[in-house]
Order: sequence, then C-alpha cells, then structure tokens
Amino acid sequence: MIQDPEDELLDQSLRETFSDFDLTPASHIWAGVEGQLAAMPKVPRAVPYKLLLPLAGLVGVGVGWLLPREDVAPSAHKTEQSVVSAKAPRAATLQRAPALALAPDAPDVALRRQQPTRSLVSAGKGPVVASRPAVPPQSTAPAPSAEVSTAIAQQTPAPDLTPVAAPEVVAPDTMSADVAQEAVAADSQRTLVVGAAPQIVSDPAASNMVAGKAATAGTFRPDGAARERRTEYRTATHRRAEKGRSFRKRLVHLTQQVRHLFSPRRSKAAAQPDF
Amino acid sequence: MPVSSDLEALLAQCLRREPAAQRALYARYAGRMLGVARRYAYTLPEAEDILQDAFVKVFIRLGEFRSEGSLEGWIRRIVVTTAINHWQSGKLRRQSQVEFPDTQDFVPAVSASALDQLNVREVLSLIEQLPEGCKVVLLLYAVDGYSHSEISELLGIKESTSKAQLSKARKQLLHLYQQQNNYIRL
Repeated sequence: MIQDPEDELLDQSLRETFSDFDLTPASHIWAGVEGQLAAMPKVPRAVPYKLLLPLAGLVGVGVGWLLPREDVAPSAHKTEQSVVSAKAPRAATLQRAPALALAPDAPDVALRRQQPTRSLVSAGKGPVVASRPAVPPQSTAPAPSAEVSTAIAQQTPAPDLTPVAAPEVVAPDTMSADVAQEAVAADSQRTLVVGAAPQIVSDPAASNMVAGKAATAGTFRPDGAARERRTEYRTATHRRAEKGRSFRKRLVHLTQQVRHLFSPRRSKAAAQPDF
Repeated sequence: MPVSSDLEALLAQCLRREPAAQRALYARYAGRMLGVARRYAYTLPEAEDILQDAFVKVFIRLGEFRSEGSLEGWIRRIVVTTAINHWQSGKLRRQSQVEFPDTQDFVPAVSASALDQLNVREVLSLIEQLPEGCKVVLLLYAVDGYSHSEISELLGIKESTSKAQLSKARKQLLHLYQQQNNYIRL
C-alpha cells in the first residue's frame, strides 16, 4: 500500500510529539495497584523436593526402626537350636545305642525316637514303663506317636529276643554300668518291655504307621538334630520391647516412668487424706 | 532490545511477588505509560484508572513476558489494550458534545508538518475533538504503530473500516488545526 507523503508526515509529526510525553502519576495509583495485588491469592510456593525427599526417607527409616522386627524371633529360634544341639550328643548316645544293639537293620527315624523311652526303663529307677523321656522335649516325638509305638509294642510280644546288650550302652551318665546291669537282670518284665523294641522295628506296618505320624509332626534328622521348621510354638512378643535395642528400651523405660508419675493411683496415694 | 541484567533481576524479584521490586518496576515505567493512557482517555483520572488496571495486569502476567522484545513495548501494549477495553466498556466519556464538521470535501490548506509547531497539550486537545473511533484508530496506527489488521482485530472492525477511519481522522485533525489557527489569527 502506497501511502500519501502528507499522511506520512502527519503520522511522523504525531509520533514525535508524543514520543516524550510523560506524566507524573499520583501516589494513589500505586496504592490501588498494591491493594489489588494483595487481594489476589498468593502464588503457591514450589515444593522443596531437595528437603522433602531426604526428610521423607529419614522418617521412613525412623518408622521402620520403631516397628517390631522379625529378627527377634529368629534369634530366639537360634537359641533354641543351640540348646538342642548342645543336648543332642547325649540324646544321640541314648538313642543310637539300643537301636544299634537291638535292631541294627532298622533305619527308621521314628523308631529311633522311641528308644530313649525304653532305655530309661532299663536304668532301673523303679517300675516305670516307658513313660518319661530322658531327653528334653525338643528331641522327643509328639505324644501321640509315642503312645502308638508303645501300644504296638505291647500288642506284639517278642519272646525270642535277648535284652542284655542294650542297658550297657544306654545307661545314664550318673549311673555306673554295674548298677545298670543289676537293674536289668532283676527286672525281667522291664527287659521284656525293652526287648519289645526290635519287634517294632521288624514290623513293617507299624513302622510305616509311626513314620507317617512322625512325618506329619515334622521332619527329623537322623542324628537327632533340631528340626528345620517349628510351627508348634508361638514366638513370645509381649516382652519384646524390653529386649529391643537401646533406643526402644529407653523409649519404653521413659514411657513407663511417665505413666508411673502421672498415673491416677499415684495421685490418689499422694493426695492428702480426706478428713 | 534485550533485557539488561539489572532488569532481569528486577523481573525475577517481581515474579516472586516481592513488593519492593514491583514498586521499582512501576516507578520505572509509570510516567511514560500514564502518557500513553492519557492519549486514549479524555481526562487524567480516566488515564490513571487505565494505568492502575494495566499495571495490575502487568504484574499478573509478568511470567508470560519473553525477553525477546523490550519490556517497555510489552507494557505499552498492555496499557493500550486496557485503554481500548475501557473505551469499549463505555468508561471513557467525552466531557462535552462536539459537532464534527463534514470533511469529505475538505482540502487542507496547511501542511501536515504544521503540527510540529504545536506542543503536546495542543495536539492532544485537537485529537480529543475527533470522533471517538477516528481518534482511537489514528492513535493506534499513527502513534503506537499498529497495523490495520491488528486494529481491526483489536477493535473488532473490518480493515477497510479502519482505513476509512484513519483517513477521516487525518483530515479532521488538519481541519481542526486550521480552524484553530484561523481563530487565533482572527
């Protein structure tokens, strides 16, 4: 578009006229601007992620520290296992010897577990008939299996067995071998009971039955070591707070002190008697 | 024109809504922008209203400013747009009714450069006597450098209307100047 030079001159003249046209604004204009800006909602501040993320991590670690941990139960389990392993050699001696002497061809684990019961009988401490185990409970089988084996043993008498060798090996540490031999010789009834053990081993149906029971109760190692898995006992947790690490212990102690100081019983006791 | 470093710092502070920086920015451009507003308004209080609204918009929309152009040009456009909005909403009122002469057959006897002899107040008083549409188109096109397409978009009119208004405004302005000059001579 070609513009008229006169129009161009007019525009130029106007532009130059207003080029340095300034006016001093009154002070109330800024007050109005400031008031309108203040009335508007503030700009939301950016979330300080650099601070927030480590803080969240720290809180997470702290909460995780305060939560009850699972490592308490394994430690208790380890303690039990160590106790078992400490007692295991003695129990193994008590168990293995009669089995080897009376039934060398019986590799059944369930039957081996029954041996200490009968070996104590042979120790001659009185007319006990296969009821009290000489080994701590963790190495003994559950009660039902013991009852089953005893019942089977009573049902199948074995007159042809010689019950002589077993007591020599099985005698407890506190007894001398002579006393054990005398006890065995004096009580033929008990030796008969002891002698019934190989018969159990020789009975395949009974051994299968006992083995099945044992399998349902848990897996046992042949050498009498601790079981791999224990589901019978619940781990005690009610005193876990006292056994925790120092922070938790102190926290519990502090809470107890505060509770002790501000308990209603104390306030009643400290109050003046009502006359 | 790139934004200088101190102005960048000022803008950054204004973006954080710091009152001192906002006041500094206002003080830096308020005088010139009041002059711009005064051209479109008929009175100074109207111009101050335009300036106040315009600066509120400036501080609100400061985040949209790109440093490719000048900040003054950006603020100027906001002031002009605000003034147009005021005019369209009927806030700008002419103080007295003026009878506009028929300038269709008017041939100016004076040169366009004759306006150079007038000061700002005199030119402003001449422009205020123009019809409102002509005045706005003349100011937008001749002084503020808007194109006809921009004016048509801003005012919601056709480009041909804008051109016609501009032509009419020029003629009337010279006619008014000539009238005033003759009156003074007489």
